[in-house]
Amino acid sequence: MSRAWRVAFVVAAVAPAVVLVCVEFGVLVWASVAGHPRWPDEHLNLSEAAATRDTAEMVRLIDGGDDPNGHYPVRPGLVDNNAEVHITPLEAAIAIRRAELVDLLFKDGVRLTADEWARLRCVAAMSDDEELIAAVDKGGSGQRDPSCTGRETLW
Amino acid sequence: MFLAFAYDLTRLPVQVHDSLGDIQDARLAPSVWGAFLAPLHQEGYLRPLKAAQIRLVFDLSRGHYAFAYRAVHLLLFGLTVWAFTWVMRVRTWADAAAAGFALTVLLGLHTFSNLLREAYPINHFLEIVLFSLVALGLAQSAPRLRNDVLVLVLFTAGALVIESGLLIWVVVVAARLSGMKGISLRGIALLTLLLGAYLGLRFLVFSNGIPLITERSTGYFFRVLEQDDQVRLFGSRTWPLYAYNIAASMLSVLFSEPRAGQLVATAQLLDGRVQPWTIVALASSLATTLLVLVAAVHASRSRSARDDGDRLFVVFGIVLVANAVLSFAYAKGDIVSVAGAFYALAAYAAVRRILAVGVTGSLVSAAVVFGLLVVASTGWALRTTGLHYSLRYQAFKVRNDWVSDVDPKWLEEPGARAVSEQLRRAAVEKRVLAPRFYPRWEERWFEE
Repeated sequence: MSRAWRVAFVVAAVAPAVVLVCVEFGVLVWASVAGHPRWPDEHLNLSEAAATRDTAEMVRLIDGGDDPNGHYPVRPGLVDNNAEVHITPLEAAIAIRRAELVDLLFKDGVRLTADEWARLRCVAAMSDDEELIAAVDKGGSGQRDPSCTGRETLW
Repeated sequence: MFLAFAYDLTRLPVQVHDSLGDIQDARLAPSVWGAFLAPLHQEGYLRPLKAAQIRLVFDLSRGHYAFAYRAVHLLLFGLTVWAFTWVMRVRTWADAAAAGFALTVLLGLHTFSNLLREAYPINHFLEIVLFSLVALGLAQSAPRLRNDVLVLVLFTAGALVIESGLLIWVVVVAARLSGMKGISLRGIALLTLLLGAYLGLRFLVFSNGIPLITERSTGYFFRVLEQDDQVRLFGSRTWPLYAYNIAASMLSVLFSEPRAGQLVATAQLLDGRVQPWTIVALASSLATTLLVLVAAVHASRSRSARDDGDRLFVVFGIVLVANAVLSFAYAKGDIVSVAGAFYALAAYAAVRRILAVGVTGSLVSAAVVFGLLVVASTGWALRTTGLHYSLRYQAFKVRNDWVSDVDPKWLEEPGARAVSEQLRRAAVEKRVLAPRFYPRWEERWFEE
C-alpha cells in the first residue's frame, strides 16, 4: 500500500475526532469566560416556563416568591403568538393544552374571578380536550358551565 | 473530552425513577452492613452490594446527598475513560489515531450514553464496565499474583453489585483464550470457584432465581410489551422471547438497531420518516462492524504474531455473546454496555490494524476501506457530539420528574420527606434550558 493511502487512512480515521476535540476545547474555553453555550442560563418568567412545559422552573419561581396570578411577557412563538403577549401562567398552560400544568397552578395558588374562569373555561372548551376542560373545571369552585360565544380568546 | 462531558454530568440531577426508592430503602437499613443483608432474599435478583454502596455514600455525604451521588457518577465516568485508554496500550502514532477513533465509538454508542444519562444514585452498569476494563487490563499485564488477587476482588464486588458483574469472569476467560496471560490459570480456577459459589448462593442458599417476565416491559419488534402482554403472548413458554432478547441485544451493539428490543429505525423506514440521527447511527455502526469484521478476518489469517490489539477481536466476540445471553430477560441498552465498551475496543483494534498493516489487494479494496473509515469516523464524532444534547434533554426531563413523579410514600414520614425534599431542591435549583429553545436541527440530528 502506498504512503499516500496510509496518510489518507489516518486522516479519514482521526480527522473528525480531532475536529471534535478542538470544538470541545473551544466550548470549554468559551464556557470559562462567557457562560456555557450548551447550558445557557436562560431566564424564564412564570408564563414562559408554563409555555415551555418547564414545571420545575415554575415551581422554582413560585417557591422564590413569584405570583402565579401575575401577568408576564411571553416572547413570540412560545404560545402560537406572533408578537410578545402579557399573559398569566394559567393562560399559557391552557394555550399549550397541558392539563397537568393547570392542575399544578391551581395547587400552587392560582385564584380566578368568576368572569376570568368563565373566559378560560370557554377557551378550554374550544380545544375539545376533555382532560384540559376537567382541569380548568377544578378552578371554577362549583360554578356552572358558562355560556360561551365561541369568540373568547386568551389575549 | 472527559472535561466536556464531565461538565454535563455536573448539570444532571439525581433521577427519581429507579433512584429515590433505592436511596430511601438504603436509608431505612440500620447500617451499611444492614443494607447489604436486606436484599439477600430478593426474588429474581442478588444485588446486596448495590444497596450497601448506596447506603455508604448516603452516610458519607453528611446530608449532601445529591452532590455525593453525582460526584460518584463523575468519578466512575473518569475512571472508565482512564481504564479504556489504559487497555488500548497506545504505543505508536497509528495506535494514537485509532485510540482517538475508538474513544468516539465508546462515547457515541447508545449503550454507553445510557450510562451517563441514567443518573441513578450509583450507576452500577457503569461500575461493571469499569471493572471489566480493569480486569482486561490486568489480563494484558505481565503475570503477577497481584493481578489474580485484584481480579478476584473485582469479580466478587461486581457479581454482588449486579448480575452483569458475572461478565468479569467471561472477560478474564476470553482474555486467556485469546492469549493474554496476565491472570494465571490458578487465578482463573479460583475465579471459576467464585462463580460456582455465586450460583450456589443465588439458586440454593438465597433462592433468588431469575427475573420473571412479569417484572419489566421490553421491546419486541415494533412495540413495547408490557408485563401483561408478555404473559399473554408467551405464558410459560418464554424461550421465544428470551431468544428474541438475546438476538436483539447482539444486533443492537453491532448495528445500533434494535433499541431496547424495538425496531426503531425499521419503523421509521416503513413510515417513510427516517430521521437523520437514525441514518447516522446505522451507517456508523454498520461501517464500524464491517471494519471490525474485515480486520478480524485479516488478523486471523495473518502469519505474523498476534499482539494484544488483535486479541481484542476474540475477547469482544466472546463478551458480546455472553452479555447478550445475560440480557435474556429483557432488552435494554445498559445491560449490553459491557459488550458496547468491548465493541469500541474491537473498533480500536480494527482501525489500528488497518493503519499499521494497510490494505492488501486492489485499489478498489483500499477505496472501500477508506470510505468505511470516513463514514464511521464522521458518524461517531456526530454521535459523540449528540451526547451533549441527550444529556441536556435528560437533565430537563429528570428535573421535571422531581415535580410530578415523586411517590407520595416518600413524602410522608419525616425522615423520608427530608431526604426527598433535599434531592428535589437540588434538582429544581439547577436551571436547565427547555427543549423548546433548542435549535430544531438538533432534534433531527441527535438522539434524545
